[in-house]
Amino acid sequence: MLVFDRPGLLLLLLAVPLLIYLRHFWRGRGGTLTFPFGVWGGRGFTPPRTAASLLVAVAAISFWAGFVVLVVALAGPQRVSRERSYLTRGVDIVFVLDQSPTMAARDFQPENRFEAARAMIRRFVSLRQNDPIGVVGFGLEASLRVPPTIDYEHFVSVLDQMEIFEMGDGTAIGMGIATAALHLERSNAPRKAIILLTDGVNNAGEIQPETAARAARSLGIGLYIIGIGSDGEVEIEIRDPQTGQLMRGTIRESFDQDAMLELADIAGGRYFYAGSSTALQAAFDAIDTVERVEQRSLLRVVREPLDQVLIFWGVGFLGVDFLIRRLFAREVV
Amino acid sequence: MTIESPRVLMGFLILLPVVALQARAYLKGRAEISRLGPMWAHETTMRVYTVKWFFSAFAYDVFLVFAVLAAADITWGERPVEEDRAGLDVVIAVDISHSMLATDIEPSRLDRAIGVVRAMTRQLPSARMALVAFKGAAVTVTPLTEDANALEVVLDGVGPALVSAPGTNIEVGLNEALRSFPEASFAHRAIVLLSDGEALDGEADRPVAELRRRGIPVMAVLTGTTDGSTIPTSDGTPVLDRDGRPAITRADPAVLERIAARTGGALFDVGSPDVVTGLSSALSRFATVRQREGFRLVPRRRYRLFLGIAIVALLASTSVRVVRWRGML
Repeated sequence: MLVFDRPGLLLLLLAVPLLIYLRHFWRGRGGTLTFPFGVWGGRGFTPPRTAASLLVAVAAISFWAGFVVLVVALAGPQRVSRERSYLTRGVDIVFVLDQSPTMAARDFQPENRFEAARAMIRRFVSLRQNDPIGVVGFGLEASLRVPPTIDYEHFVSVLDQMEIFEMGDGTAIGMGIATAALHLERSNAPRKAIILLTDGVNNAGEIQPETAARAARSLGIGLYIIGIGSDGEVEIEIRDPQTGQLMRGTIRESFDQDAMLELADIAGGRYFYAGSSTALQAAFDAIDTVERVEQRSLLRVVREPLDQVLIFWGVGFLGVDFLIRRLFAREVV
Repeated sequence: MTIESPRVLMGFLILLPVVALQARAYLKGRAEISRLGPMWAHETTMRVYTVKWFFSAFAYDVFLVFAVLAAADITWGERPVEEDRAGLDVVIAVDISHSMLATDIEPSRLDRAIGVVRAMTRQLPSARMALVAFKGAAVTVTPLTEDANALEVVLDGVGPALVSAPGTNIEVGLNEALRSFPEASFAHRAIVLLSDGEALDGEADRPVAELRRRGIPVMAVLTGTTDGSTIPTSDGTPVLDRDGRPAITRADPAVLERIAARTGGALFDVGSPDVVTGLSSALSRFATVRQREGFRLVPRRRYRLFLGIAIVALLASTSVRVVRWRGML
């Protein structure tokens, strides 16, 4: 929204028609020659329309455009926006995202499991405003990619850079949960949650998922587990990041639902099975509803002055007028 | 008095071609009056023309001068604005250019800077911090977070290889630091800039106006000595200049001092034994004082005065041509 610091100064614009009249149409102005055709009953003459007269008209328009813009700048135009600051602490959430090769299975057509999970995380983040969100990626190893932050732009840009297979061929679920718990350990948020998205069984890493789940529970961290993927035979297409070789085939691999349920039970959390896009969205919506805290916020009015830009434009318009009059119209005053 | 956009003053250079075109018009005008004007009133006509030309040209030049001054955003005095915030968000901007590998400060400028950051994060456990690394371009290494563990881990990997763009551009570093403050934050905001001040690209003063407007102080840490030293390469030999001699890099406190002073921050020397304590207490004090007072002082802008004079001069320049001067001289 545009507002003015001194809107009263815009009244100066009311003088513009008078000034235009005085400069261009007043018969008593300087620089004019008067011919008494009226005495003879003649109609006088009008100057022919030439390129020069067109240029003079352009110069006049530029001059008054420049003048108007400068008067508007004088009135202190400001772009006003509202900025919402939160007075309370949100929920700390860390996603633990499986990057093992099987996440390339295409049972969320046209996307694969990884892309579907990523899209859903992006959507989840877009619905949050003051909840620090981070992400841990895991495969053979686990690594914190983004610590819990409210800089969602940065979060999404890193999320978009994550690729399947980059953490090695394996599924270190325990390491993923432990890494997330480590980075939530010192947080003083009223609620803390880990959301694990995986399609496999733990087969790598030095920490067992059960141990990590117990640690998370002892730190007061809620654990949500979303098992991604269908039971049937699924197409898979994956490019080896080391060799660049494209591999295609079908897999029939599923996760151990009982183990997942047990893990959720140990951590005092919940397990969701997401065999389709709809189920995945439902799981995210359920978590989104639960992991909310009451927040108090403050709306600030942020004013961005626009006068400097308008001064540049105004001087630019007047420069066009000056150049046309001096170089093409050959005015001497 | 402060000029918020000093680069705009380069606009005064426009006066050179403008005055040249005005002088050319005057000479042409005189020649044409001599050719076409009435012989019986030659001197009067010429006098009127000269006076009209002078006032018109002078008023137009005054217009230009004051329009440039208005655009340069001159400020003096201060006014209070409400600042209802609590807590502290700090973005640490670390210079990772190759000159930061110089060893005039042991073990190197960069290692010492990282040591300062590490110690500072321990002294300010309740602050949220972000880490920005810059060279010819800037990158947010860690977004604003309470997670001190994350910051600790990434500090080990901070080096010139993080950014491929060569050079040293404090401007992009400060811009990225500004971008790293999320809108939703309720905390007071400050930037800690660690650099040798040897800015090769960009205009370090450019983001300063925005920082002043938002009330974000820059606590600058000069990382290097003015005596300077060579820059070792990976094999231990020094980097050579164009003439094949070892290149010497010298810290430049002037740039950092100016940024710190204009944003209400302070300058610290990494060589000083109490740099960490001084920096941490300056940041804590800044947040405490702001929170207690509930307002901050912002510079009072005076562009309207200059723009008003410019518009009057423009109208005067035009009026000289509109008003008939017959019989006035």
